[in-house]
Amino acid sequence: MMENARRKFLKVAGISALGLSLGTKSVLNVFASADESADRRGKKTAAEITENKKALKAKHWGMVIDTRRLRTVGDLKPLIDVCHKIHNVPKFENSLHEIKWIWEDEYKHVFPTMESEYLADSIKHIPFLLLCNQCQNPPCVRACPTKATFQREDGIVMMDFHRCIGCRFCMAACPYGSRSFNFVDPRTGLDESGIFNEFPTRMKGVVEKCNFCV
Amino acid sequence: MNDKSRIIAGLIIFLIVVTFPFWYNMGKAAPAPETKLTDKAKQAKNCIQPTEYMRVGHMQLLNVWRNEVVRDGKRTYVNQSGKDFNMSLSNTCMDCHSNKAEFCDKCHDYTSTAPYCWDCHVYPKESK
Repeated sequence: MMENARRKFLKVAGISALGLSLGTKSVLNVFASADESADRRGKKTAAEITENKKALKAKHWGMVIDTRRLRTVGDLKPLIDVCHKIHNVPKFENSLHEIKWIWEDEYKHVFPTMESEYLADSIKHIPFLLLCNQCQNPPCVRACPTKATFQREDGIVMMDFHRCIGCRFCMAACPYGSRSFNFVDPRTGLDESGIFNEFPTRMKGVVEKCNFCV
Repeated sequence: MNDKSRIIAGLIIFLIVVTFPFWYNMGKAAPAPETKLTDKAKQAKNCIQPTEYMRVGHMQLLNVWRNEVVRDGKRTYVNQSGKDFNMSLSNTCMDCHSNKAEFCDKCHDYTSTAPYCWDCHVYPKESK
């Protein structure tokens, strides 16, 4: 009796295992053919993605600012204004919400290790332009857990806003304060007519900085 | 088993309640929306890829575009007929398809998809 039951059980188990494997095979086949058709679609639409051939190339980009020619706030303001205009950088009354890509500061803050007692007064108090340094060994990139900020081959430290989760590790890592966090919806800091259509704005909850005009 | 009638009545009521949404909405399915093309898009006749492909695969295409542009700095798309395009949602797609409400939103609403493109990317104002 016992023997018989085991025998029966084994038979049923064997047959159902066979049936299951056949069943999954046909299901897998369906998936495979779906993949194939996707492949065919892909082939039909083979297109090429290349770099813009007119774009300038560099091994490692750098920027030189001639501080002898930019000496007053009046010299710097148009530069700051146009950068912030074409990159849709918002303006907020509340300084805690400030977003800046390019800004000005005095000598001791711009060149913190190069202060000297004998520095000429004229240099001490003129404004200097500051922007993201596009560091060769960027600490923000090391800190970013999602690789939302990364270094391109030509040295530019980029932000990928699609990936930014707003953790602000990069802001803690950046020694130069080049990064700003969107505490509020940046579009509220841009007047409707002032939005530059050719460049995206950002959204609340991401960190942003100068993109070196990529 | 003396409650047979009650149980059956209960089951019937349960079935009616569960299937209520189906027969309540019977025959009221919203028709699939037709997108409207702008004059500029009509004039161009061809999009960057055949219409069939764009209808099915525009989201994959845009996803590839954003990765290539942002991560690899590749901004030029050359299609099979050798025409090249600047890979940009706001500047290339929305240049022809400047009617977001009629072109994008209609189908997205119908299929209940809410792409977050417009949180950042700017779309042209529609004159009404």
